[in-house]
Amino acid sequence: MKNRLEELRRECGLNQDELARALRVSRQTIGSLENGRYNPSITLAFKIARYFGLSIEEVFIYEEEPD
Amino acid sequence: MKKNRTKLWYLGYAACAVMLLLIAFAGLPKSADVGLACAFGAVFGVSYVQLWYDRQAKKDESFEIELTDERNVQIKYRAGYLVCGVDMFLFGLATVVFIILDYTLPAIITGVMLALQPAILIGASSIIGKKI
Repeated sequence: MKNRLEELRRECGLNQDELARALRVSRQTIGSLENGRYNPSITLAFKIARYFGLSIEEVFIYEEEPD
Repeated sequence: MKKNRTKLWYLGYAACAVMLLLIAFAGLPKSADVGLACAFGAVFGVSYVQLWYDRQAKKDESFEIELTDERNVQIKYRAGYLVCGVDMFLFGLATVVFIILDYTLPAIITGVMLALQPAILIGASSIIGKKI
């Protein structure tokens, strides 16, 4: 799943550490999310979307895996 | 709820004190004393670590975040699953080695432990499955 986390974070002028503290997750989690290595739980996805004042679909882009 | 759980770990210290008193004054057989000493070590260790974790979490916010971070929790689960597989392999290896060396009792013990692992896995999955 792709996401716009890095782009949104940069727009807000935050570094990974500041965003991690605001969302109460580790900095490594933010890094992994931005790199697309880790997909968040629905709870964290909501937290992230609400933090930026957006809907989940505006932050996370779900793409079906090809068969 | 969390506070009550923290208080529960102090019961571990109380149990340790009782075990120490039993070892010192009850005049139990040596094998019972050894068993109590092992139980003392396990209970004291677990209680101490749990209370230390709770204290650290209160003192240091980042420590609590590291503990509850969902990615870290997933890493812990996946690592645990991997370790479980490695444990089963090692138990199997130990059982084979014991059989080759003709150590019947150790072979039976490790074999039973090996056989119990899937049963425990099924039981634990069933209990957790009912909660989720």
